[in-house]
Amino acid sequence: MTKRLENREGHADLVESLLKKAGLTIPGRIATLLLPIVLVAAPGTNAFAQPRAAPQGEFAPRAVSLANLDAFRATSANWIVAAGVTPGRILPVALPPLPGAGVLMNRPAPGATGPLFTTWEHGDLDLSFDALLPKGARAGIYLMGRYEVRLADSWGTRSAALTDLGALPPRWDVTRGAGREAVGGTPPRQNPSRAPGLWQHIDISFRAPRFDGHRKIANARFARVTVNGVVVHENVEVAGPSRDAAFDDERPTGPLMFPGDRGALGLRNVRYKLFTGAVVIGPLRYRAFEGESMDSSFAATHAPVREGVATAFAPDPVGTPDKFALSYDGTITVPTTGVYRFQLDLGWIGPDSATRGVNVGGGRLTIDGKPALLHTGAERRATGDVELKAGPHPFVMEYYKNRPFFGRRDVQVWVEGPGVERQPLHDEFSAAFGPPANPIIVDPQMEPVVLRSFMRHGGTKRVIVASVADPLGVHYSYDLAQGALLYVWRGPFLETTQMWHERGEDQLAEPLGGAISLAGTPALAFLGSANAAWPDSLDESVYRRGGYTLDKLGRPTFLAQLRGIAVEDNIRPAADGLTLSRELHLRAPATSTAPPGLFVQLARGEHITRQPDGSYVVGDRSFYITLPAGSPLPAIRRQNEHDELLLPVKFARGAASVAYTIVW
Amino acid sequence: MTSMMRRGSVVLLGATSLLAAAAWTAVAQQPAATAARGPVENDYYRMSTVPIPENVVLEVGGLETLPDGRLAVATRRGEVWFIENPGSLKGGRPHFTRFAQGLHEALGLSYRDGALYTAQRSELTRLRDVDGDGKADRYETVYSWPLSGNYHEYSFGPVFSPSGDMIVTLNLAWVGYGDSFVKWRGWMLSIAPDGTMKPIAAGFRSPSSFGYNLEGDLFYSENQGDWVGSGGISHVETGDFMGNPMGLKWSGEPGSPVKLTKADIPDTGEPKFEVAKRVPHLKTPAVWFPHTILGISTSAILVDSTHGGFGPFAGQLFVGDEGQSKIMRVFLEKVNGVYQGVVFPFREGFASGVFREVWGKDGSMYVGQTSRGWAATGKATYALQRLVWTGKMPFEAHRVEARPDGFEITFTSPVDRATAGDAASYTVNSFIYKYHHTYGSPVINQLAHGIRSVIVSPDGRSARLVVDSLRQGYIHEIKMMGVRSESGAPLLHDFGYYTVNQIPSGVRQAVTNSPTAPPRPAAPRATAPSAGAALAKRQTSMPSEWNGTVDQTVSVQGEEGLKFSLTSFDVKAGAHIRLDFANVSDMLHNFVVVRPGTAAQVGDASLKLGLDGTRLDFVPRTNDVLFHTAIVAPQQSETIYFTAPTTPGEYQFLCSFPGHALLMQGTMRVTR
Repeated sequence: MTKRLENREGHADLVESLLKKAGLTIPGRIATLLLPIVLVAAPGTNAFAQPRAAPQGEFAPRAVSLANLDAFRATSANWIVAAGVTPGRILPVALPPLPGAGVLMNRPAPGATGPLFTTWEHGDLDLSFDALLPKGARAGIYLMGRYEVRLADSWGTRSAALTDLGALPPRWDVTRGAGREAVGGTPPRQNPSRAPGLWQHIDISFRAPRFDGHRKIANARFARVTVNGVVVHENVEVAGPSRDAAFDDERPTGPLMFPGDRGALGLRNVRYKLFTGAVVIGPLRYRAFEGESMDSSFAATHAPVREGVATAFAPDPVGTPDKFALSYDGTITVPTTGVYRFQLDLGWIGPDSATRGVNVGGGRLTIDGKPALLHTGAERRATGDVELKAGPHPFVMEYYKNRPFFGRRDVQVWVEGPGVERQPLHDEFSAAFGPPANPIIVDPQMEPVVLRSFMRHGGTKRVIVASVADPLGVHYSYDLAQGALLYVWRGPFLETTQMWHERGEDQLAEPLGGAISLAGTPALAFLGSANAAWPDSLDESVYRRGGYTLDKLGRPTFLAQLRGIAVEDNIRPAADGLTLSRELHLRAPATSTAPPGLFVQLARGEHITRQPDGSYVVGDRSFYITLPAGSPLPAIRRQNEHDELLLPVKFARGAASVAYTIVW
Repeated sequence: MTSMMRRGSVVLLGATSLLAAAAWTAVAQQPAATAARGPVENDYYRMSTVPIPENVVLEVGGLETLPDGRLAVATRRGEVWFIENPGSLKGGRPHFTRFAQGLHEALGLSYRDGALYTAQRSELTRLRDVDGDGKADRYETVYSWPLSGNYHEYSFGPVFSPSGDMIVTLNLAWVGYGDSFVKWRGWMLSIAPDGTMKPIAAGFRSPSSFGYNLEGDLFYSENQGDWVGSGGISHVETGDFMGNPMGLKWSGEPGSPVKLTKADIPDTGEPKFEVAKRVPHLKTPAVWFPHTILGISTSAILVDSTHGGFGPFAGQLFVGDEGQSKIMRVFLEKVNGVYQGVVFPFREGFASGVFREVWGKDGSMYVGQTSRGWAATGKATYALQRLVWTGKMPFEAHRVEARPDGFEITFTSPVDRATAGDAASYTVNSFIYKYHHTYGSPVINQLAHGIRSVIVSPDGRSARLVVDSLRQGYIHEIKMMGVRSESGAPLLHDFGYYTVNQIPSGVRQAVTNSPTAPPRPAAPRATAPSAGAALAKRQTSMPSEWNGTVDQTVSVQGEEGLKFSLTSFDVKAGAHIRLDFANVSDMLHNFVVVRPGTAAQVGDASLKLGLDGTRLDFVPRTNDVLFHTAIVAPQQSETIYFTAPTTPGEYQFLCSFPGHALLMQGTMRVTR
């Protein structure tokens, strides 16, 4: 148990940083305590499967200014900047711009369909942006002007193909002859697309081809591509330029290119980091120390038990997992002058006063005889920034462990810097801590499944949760105790490794698709006044769950009693197989009159705005709520810095119904 | 009986292997075969395995026989399967149909009036198939309870009471110790069909199983742990406090029949029966199951209601054990209104951890098994097996009853009067466990009882043992190693453990002969052999001649899942080693260094230590053992010091706690 706790705690900070990086992309909170999954990085797991650094300050990615088009070379007038867009949810192409800046738009018109290039070129690159794809959009982004990642409106596609959002289309080789040009291509693992008109978030980690003179020695490679927080590619190579590339050849660098002839597109929050070199350590000598009373002066109080040479930082030289110290010295060579950030993770530093501090462990990095990083054992991770000139520098890295009865001795050392991707300086095999569990996936294809579990939501662990899979590929998670929707998603259903591996100490299930996190608040509540706060939860004495019934197809209707009112909650995939429609049917006790002040909360979000087509867009254009024809108009009210979409419940002859649809 | 014999034959004829032929021979020539190899359990109770479809993970959490003869199985992954023809009768094979799915770790299953009832983690659920398509379409919450979110908050049941209410039990959470974070954790509840709930009793730790005897009294099985020195079964009555005080934080809630608070419970390490003299309603077990000898994780309770269809033990209880993959047999009697009785071994060798037992319509016992997360002697992750009585009468101690001055042992068939009447054929030892917050307990207050007389009944079916001074509150180990049947066969199981909660009044036997063996104190704790300046095998302080320095410190943890944190470590020949052993799991472990290639035999030897096991820290007295720690409780540690062997080689280390050695082994490489 201790080991598991340590695992979890050890990566919480990484996951936290990922969440920050992910911004509004949502399913990550679920992942925060699913550590083995985070470690496993199994195919199909979510965007946070691999830890990455929290970029801050000068290590943050560079934002492309969208105040104007200065960062770009537009080849025709279809490329503009705007303050925002009012996209049609249903109509193709319509992206009427709002005057201003911040959003880059393509509005192709007859005679104005040219591509857009960045003025800068890139090789190795991490890139992220939000894309707004109107209905029917089939745009793309070409890394180095050559290697396409498809940006397309793929809403509604069950089995994502080479033309869908996130696909890496085939290499286009005209030398093969007409009709035979397309070679290869990699479809995305799944289709995490949002509905047209919603912002979608894309992350691309791209590595340029490598050359020995003019001879290519390594293909271009997509190290990772995520769409709406879901990993759709990892380490996929592309052997040559895609169709409609700006260049036929392959080079070490090139500009980003957006084709202009494929319909409307909105882009914002374009950020990137360029990588131009790597840090090299070596030759590396170590001295290993073992014994009692390890502290920062171990080199003075202990004699080394072993000395030798190494290629990376690793715990291997010490013969004990317990109390030891290691001192390395050697040369570190940096490619560019600038500030470098070093990070030292000591795996044995725990979360509480007994398991952290200088009595438990610590370390320091000294470069050119000057301190570069000091680890005081206060937390597992310590970082240090140091300005280094390009070229070699002598360094000493020391760390010690003084924690008994605790098996972990793993160390991670990372560095990033100007043009240097965050890279490990430790031996990644030695740093691995235990074999990963075989993933357990639930993905029913033939019939609905209602599966109970615990589930993370908004930083808390919900314990009375049912997740419902539908063969149409539309799924949701539901808090039975609150009658609250937690997540909706399409794609693969659930990972249950945390529930069914060994004892299942977290008992957590995790949505596998690009889940939208909903408010998780009770759908129904009595409000004493118009300004009364919506409750976060309802006590069992108010809202008592009654289980569920399954219809002929196996779809559930959830039952509850709300102050004597019988509640039936039907959440069903709509006929289009894309959205979820919810119908709440309420029946007041025959003896009483219908109670006043009962409301349904349809949605809660940062902002809720009514759209011209009568739908409501929630959050940062995260999802839509639509109502059936003839439905009374819901009210939007602002509470605690959130908008709420509320409908009063009107009983007629003791019965009432409310229906709405979630579109994402 | 005849029909059972025929069923046995059917099994044999249906099989085609050499094994079947051998068994046929054994039936035909029983006396000779028995004499040649001695009786084995399989001669009397055959075990067969129900084939499970490859894609079904049948980690059994609940087991029930439906009125039509199908088995219903609830699984830890939350499914309910119906199994038609589970016994593969007449050459057919079982047919599996999924009735329900998606439950949260269903750990019980009961049928009543067309519905199945199961406890999920957070509720008691009724499953019904209203449209008759063979699949549940109603998952109705009958009663719900809160959860803190800790994995160890298992919920078990229900079992229907004679009055038609549903009994469930709620495990404590585990956070390095058992605790009750939300209401009714550590309690037994009774829930009426209309959903009204009454708490019945408190003080439960890990009450995975409970059931009624033929008299309609309720018993539950408890696992060794904090406040539980050893496993056993206890009679539960409304208002009882079973012993673990963590759940008492809810005794002030409306409806609680228990009024004790945690402050009322002393943590002195006295035997539980002593504390119970001062703490009203503190219940001691009806029958203790000595830890590691008769199980390590007591589970299913099934009363023999077959009226002889399953053999000679009608009315007795068959109690399973998860960790040791076996089933014990319990005879209960009431003395002065208090239940007590004896536990015997019954059948071992199940494929996985025995968790649930139920009678099939065919008169056999179905045994549902799971070991995920809690390794068991049977290595399969899950299994469903069937025990069938062959119709042959095992020579067993059928029961032991307390007498004012000893015990009366009744056998299943007449005994050889000479051996059964010889006091030297028996030994009686008594002992007890500590009652304290610590996980588990050593065996304490051990005493050997002299046997003053043995009187064999005229029909040769029973033997009256007159022993020195029965000890009220104590477990009495009764060994019958010398007893033979009329045909000269030894007992199939020659020992049992009788818990004397009460000593009956009545007439004592007039004994004229002197004691066969004088009462003697239990053997003192084994002292380390002292060969000159050699260190003890368990040296817990640094030898003074080391002058305060060690050459090398090794630290090892015992972890969840029967693992050491290290699979190997290196030491220099002759080096002074300090070894820190910490137990971060929730089981008991030790750390034993043995000669190369001897880990398996040391592990096996520890299984045979019996009652001496706890006293010896489960370390067999053999030259193969070089160094060892004591048994270390969860979250505790011990440091030992030893001088590494001077001969280089691949020495081994293991945990010699019974059953652990197979998984908990590693290599200590001694290098120059």
